[in-house]
Amino acid sequence: MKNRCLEREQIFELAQGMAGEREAASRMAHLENCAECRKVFAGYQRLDDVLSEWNPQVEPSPWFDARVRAAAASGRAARGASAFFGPALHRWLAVPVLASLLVVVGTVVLRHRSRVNVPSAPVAAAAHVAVPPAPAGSQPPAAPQTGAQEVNMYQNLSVLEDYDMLAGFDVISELPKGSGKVAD
Amino acid sequence: MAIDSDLELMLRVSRGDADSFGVLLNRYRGPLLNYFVRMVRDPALAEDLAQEAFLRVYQARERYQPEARFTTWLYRIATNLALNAIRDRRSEPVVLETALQTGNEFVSPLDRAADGRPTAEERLADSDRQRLIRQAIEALPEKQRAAVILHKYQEVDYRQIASILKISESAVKSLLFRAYESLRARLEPLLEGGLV
Repeated sequence: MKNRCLEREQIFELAQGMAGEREAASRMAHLENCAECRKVFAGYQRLDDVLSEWNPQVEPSPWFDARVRAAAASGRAARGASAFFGPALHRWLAVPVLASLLVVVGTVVLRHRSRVNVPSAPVAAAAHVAVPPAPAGSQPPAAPQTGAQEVNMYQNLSVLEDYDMLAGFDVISELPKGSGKVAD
Repeated sequence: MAIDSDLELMLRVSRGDADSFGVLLNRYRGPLLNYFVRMVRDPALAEDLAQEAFLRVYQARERYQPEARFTTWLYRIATNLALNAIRDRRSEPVVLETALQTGNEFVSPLDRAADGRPTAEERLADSDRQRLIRQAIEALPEKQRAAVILHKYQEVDYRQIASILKISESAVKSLLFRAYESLRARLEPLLEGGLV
């Protein structure tokens, strides 16, 4: 009667030379009589052969030793500039650099736009129209309503497209956020 | 002239002998660089890490205790560096493909067939196989990957691997078994003779 088949892990250990001397001898004896286990054993050997094909031979650079010796002599880290300014640092620097870039670009664009949108004389005059005083005895309208009316009055004027400029006017600045079509 | 053992050399280094450090550097820079290349793939990073590993050996020379093999100590330092680098670069894009698959040497495909060296098609198939193997190993969990590379490519004994990874010997066997089972599944097309 044939012995019970070996566990795959036992065959693996045998194939990799990780089994103890006695275990290896008894497992080899089993393999001689068990085609099934021999097949598994051969499979691991084949896998080993396939893995051997991955052979990325990389030679150290000519300055390898010199860099290690220099770093050892100075007591600093050996990793060169490429490592120091490597990906980890890039990742941490990316956020502040991008944020600064956005601020600069945003400032330039806004300045450019405000220069282009300098209002003509009539428009500027219209922009300075004062809010009519409320009739005596009547309740003064709430500031947001006044602001909304002002927006309705001026919504066809191109100057109103420049929210940043309009934000300087008291009436408009009192507008609650989200009311009126001021910002583009 | 007798070849000095790593242990003797390291003991001399610990007493301030710079020449002995040079001998160790010369002996292990190649294997260590190839270990890092397999672990992190990027050759430039691998070289930086290999240099860092040697520097750490030098910096720790006075604390060196000859309890374990020098290579166990060296690969423990190297493995820690490699695993940290992998974690740092996990989200980074792949840097290198062809140089590692085909070697750094460039020969025109037309030159190959005439002198009996591999044709362009053969090299392409070869690089496909190597890419599959590399990808299969890179897909392994970090410790399994380190164990496989140490065991298969650096020829480090599994007892040493246990010491390097700070796990038991039976855990190394189990780790390697699981790794090889995954590799067997992933590399099935190559095992059956496909993609020749």
